[in-house]
Amino acid sequence: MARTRRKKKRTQNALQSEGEAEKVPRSFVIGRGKLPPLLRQLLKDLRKLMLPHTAVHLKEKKSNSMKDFLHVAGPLGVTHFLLLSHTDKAAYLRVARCPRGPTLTFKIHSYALDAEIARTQIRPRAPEGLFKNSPLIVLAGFGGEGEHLKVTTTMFQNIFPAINVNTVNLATCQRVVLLNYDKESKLIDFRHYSISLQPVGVSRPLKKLVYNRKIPDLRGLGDVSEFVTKSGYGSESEVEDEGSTVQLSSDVGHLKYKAPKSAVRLQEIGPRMTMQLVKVEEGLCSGAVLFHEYIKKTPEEIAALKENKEKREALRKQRRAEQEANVRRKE
Amino acid sequence: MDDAELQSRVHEHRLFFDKLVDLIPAKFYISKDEEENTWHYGMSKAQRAAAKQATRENLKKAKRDRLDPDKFTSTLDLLQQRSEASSKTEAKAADASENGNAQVQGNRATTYEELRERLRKRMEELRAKRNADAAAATARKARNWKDEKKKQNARSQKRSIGVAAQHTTTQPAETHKKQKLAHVGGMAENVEKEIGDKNNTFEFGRVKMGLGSEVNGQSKKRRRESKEKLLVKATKLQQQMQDPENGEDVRLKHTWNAALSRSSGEKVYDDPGLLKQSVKREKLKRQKSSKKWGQRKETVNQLIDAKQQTRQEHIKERKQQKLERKMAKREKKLLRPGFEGRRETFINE
Repeated sequence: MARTRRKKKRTQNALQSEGEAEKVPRSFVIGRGKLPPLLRQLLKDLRKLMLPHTAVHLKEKKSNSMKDFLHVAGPLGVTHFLLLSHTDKAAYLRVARCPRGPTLTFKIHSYALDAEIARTQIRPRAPEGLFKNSPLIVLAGFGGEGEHLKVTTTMFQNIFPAINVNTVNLATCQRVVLLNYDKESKLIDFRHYSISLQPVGVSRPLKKLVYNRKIPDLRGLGDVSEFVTKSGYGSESEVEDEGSTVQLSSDVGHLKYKAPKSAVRLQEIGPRMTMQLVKVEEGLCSGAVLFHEYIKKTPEEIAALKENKEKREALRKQRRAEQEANVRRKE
Repeated sequence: MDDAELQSRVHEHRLFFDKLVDLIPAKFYISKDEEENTWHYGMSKAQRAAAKQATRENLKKAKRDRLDPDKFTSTLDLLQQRSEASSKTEAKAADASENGNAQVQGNRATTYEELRERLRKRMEELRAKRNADAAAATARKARNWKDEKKKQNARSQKRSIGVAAQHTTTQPAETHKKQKLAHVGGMAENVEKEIGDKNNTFEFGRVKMGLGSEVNGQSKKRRRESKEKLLVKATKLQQQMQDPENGEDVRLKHTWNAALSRSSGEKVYDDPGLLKQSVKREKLKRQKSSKKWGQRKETVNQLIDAKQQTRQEHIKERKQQKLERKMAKREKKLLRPGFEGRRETFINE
């Protein structure tokens, strides 16, 4: 009888403490205000980019305010908000951290949608599991002076989950987001690529046979050996450069193309944007302005503004207290 | 004459006692000293086996000797052998001790000094052999260095908590990703040129090392400060910011640092209002839970009391019933019709 008694195995949730340290950052991509159709498409593209840790079918109504999103963000574990808005001057993208984090406001000078980029390519790539894993991120040119640049760097670095060097499977790193900062024009180029590995040094017909399983056409050849030895070493677009080839170690996981020497090929997918950092605020679309590209306020003005704000707050509280007293009196 | 008579009488007595002793088997008369073959604590298995074997062989040998008529030794003979052996050893010991005693008795005072001298010399020898002084010096140095290092670490940890988090990847990850990115479409040559430019640095996404690694300069298991302490800190910070001369710098530095750490995911507690609210919330929660605990204890005690109550009642009932039964039985006996022995009053009234 004692042997068949239930044995308690998971009496303590031992994984809880570990899980806290490895929270995956999640995001909401929201449009604010009435967006023109192109921007609505950009919104959808951005949502696709942020997959898998975002709500891709997020339903937002016109009546939803920031507070609603904030309230839902807590329980769902959402850490970042990406807000797309629009004025007649330009479109703006705000990247903010929940719940009290800083907000970066970018002015979008120009953008291109997924579909447009796919149309410019001869063979647009869209493999199956492309959006099943988060993209990598590369920030170039952000090393200069300026606290705002540092905040931008950290913000973007933390939007996507960190990679565990020990357990990462290289086959899951299929996308990369590139942000390039130009010091003179202060513009940030936003690009989104898909990564693929191509074996290097293999002749084209062989490559086609082995990797694409395409049965070769031996009509013009006298012997099978001619097929193997005949034409060119590699394709024209093959890269000779040593720097762009990678020596993959044997334990590379379940990568499909596992030649000993592979070249890394990037093909652009996803939206393309040119933006400029305009404003850094202390709170979530609120709070003091830490950095503004165009407007510079003197300390006196800042102090005056703060005073005004505090006065207004005090007044509002007073009015609310009065109203409540009135209500209680009337009851 | 008397002497000879005495001697002969003693001799007769002696012969008599010898005969008596002879009658007693040696096993009972002569005490056997402790042999090595007996078991004592700490014998290994091999030793035990050897001892057992030895005893077995001894037994066999002794049995054979016992039944061998030539080897027969009576108790008396054994006694004599014993006494001869002991006398020899005593003689030796006596000689040795005599010589020793003479020395010791002679110069007691100086031998103490000599002994001390010898002890000192011996200690110095041993210490020189193992380099005691050098070892002690190095041990002390090592301990000092360790303490210094600990203090430094504590100081630098305190400092790095306020400083913005830095994100760097290790070398292998960087080179790997650099290789991947070196073929960004259309920008190959530019990148080659610009990598040399020191303003054009690359930064990559965050990379986690193995378990227990240091993330952002802090170890994973840091003690969280209580909300009250954080409140105190936050109010102090606010006061510093109000300060007329350094307030602005403090505020600027703090807001930038806070923005950096918030964007990297760390929680910065600098709003005294919010902290006060959470302190209050915690207090209420604690009160509520303690009240609930009190209620739970109450109910448990009540249950116990109720059970005890019923138990006492049942015991009492049983006692009463027993008594009643006894009385009923007696009554039954006494209430027999025509029983003469029943009296209402006492016998001697």
